[in-house]
Amino acid sequence: MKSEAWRIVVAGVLLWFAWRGSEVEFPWPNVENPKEVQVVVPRPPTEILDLCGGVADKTKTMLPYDREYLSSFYIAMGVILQRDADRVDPVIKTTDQWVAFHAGSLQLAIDKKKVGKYEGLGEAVDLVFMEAIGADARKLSKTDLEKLSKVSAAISYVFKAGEDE
Amino acid sequence: MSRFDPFDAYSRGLAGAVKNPRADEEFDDAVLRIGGNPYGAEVAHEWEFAGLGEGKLTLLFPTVLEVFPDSLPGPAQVRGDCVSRGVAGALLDSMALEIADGKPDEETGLLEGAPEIPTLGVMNGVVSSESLWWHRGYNGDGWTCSSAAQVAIQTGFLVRKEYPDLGIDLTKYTMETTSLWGARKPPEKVLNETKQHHARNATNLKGREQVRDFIAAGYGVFNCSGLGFSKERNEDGFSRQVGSWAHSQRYIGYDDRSDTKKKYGEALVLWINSWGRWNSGPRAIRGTNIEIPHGAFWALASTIDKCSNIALSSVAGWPRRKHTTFGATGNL
Repeated sequence: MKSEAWRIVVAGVLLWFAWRGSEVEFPWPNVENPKEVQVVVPRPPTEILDLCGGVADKTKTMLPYDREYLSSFYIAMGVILQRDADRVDPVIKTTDQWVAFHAGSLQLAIDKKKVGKYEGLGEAVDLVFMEAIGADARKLSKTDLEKLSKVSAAISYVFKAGEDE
Repeated sequence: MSRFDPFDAYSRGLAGAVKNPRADEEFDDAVLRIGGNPYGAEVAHEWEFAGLGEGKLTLLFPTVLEVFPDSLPGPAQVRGDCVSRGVAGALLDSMALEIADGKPDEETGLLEGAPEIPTLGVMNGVVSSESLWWHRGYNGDGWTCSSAAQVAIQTGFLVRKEYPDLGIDLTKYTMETTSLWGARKPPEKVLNETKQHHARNATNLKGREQVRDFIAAGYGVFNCSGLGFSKERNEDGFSRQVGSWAHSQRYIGYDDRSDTKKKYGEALVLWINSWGRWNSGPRAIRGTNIEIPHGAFWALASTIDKCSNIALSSVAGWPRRKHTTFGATGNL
């Protein structure tokens, strides 16, 4: 896919989760009043949650609004991936395209000055996806996209730190 | 300097494919020494795929194009190096089928992936025919199918990309790249690179049924012959055998369906030439919505019986590429 088209897709993701946030009960994180944010992220299956241990460790030193922000980001990504899996002709067809989509979305969502604020967080998130679908550069099936969706939701849950338990 | 017109050159008698019984014997010997069998009929029975293509329409090229989009037909020849183009094409076919198959390489146990080459390199045929051509031992045109196959299994080949350490760029097929070596052997550093990628095995095929079954089993097959063909395809993509070319091409499909045999009196085999878009006419395959590549044509299967045919198997090897990040590293 041309890089320009990818930028449009990534921008679409962000617009989606910014616009639809209230409709799926996760309003844009309110920095001034974090207690007012209500992010409903269902508990993921244990076998997927178990992959997220590395991310869970990183959340212990993260500020609440950063955790909420990334929780919203990854639940939105999970929804987008499930919608793509449901398409007859998915947009994301290969692991290379998934990597570009994930990286591009983060580049637009995260202020460049804040990258690296939590050392090793990016690596920990990548490791979860790699353990879920493997590191081989290959085509993605519908099942793979669904798994990426579930993993995104699990990462969102872990960032949320299970406050609803 | 006038542009090389392969149709004209071969029609006027350019000897691209040359017979050499001694070379044929050396090839058979080379196959035996690597533990192979130069008799294709025995291979097909031993590996239990004899008869695999019977009654079927078998096509190699859709998978080739899936793995390497726009790799067919490749650029038109710029000289009489058809044999190197034929063997390179057969290597491409076998490699693509292996990659698509997704099974581990039988020697290394690793899953084979596609080599990383630029789009222009894919459009120029993926496998560098020059890297085989350089080993013919002289500077002129013409070569022997069996010698080319021997190079493919013993010496190996390069792909269409830049090799900065070797000081060469094989992304595009040109007269210059075909002329780098010939009478002089390539230097040691080039040989060390080509050694890493070679066909693990090869065998001679005699007759149409063996070609049918090897294609059905997913192996690239190329040929040397004295057969010329019409530039025009009929409504089924079929071209008459007419005239004489001392030439090498390859097969990328076989139609053994009963209604095809009823219409044409025998099965058809799908040839593809290395002359770019040299021919014209309909390309839809009978009874399907699939189109044969440009430069290809169906011909009577009996044409196979007048060719020397060689199948190449199991191309080593590019390990499947792995991601080191999935997008968050460096962005979070």
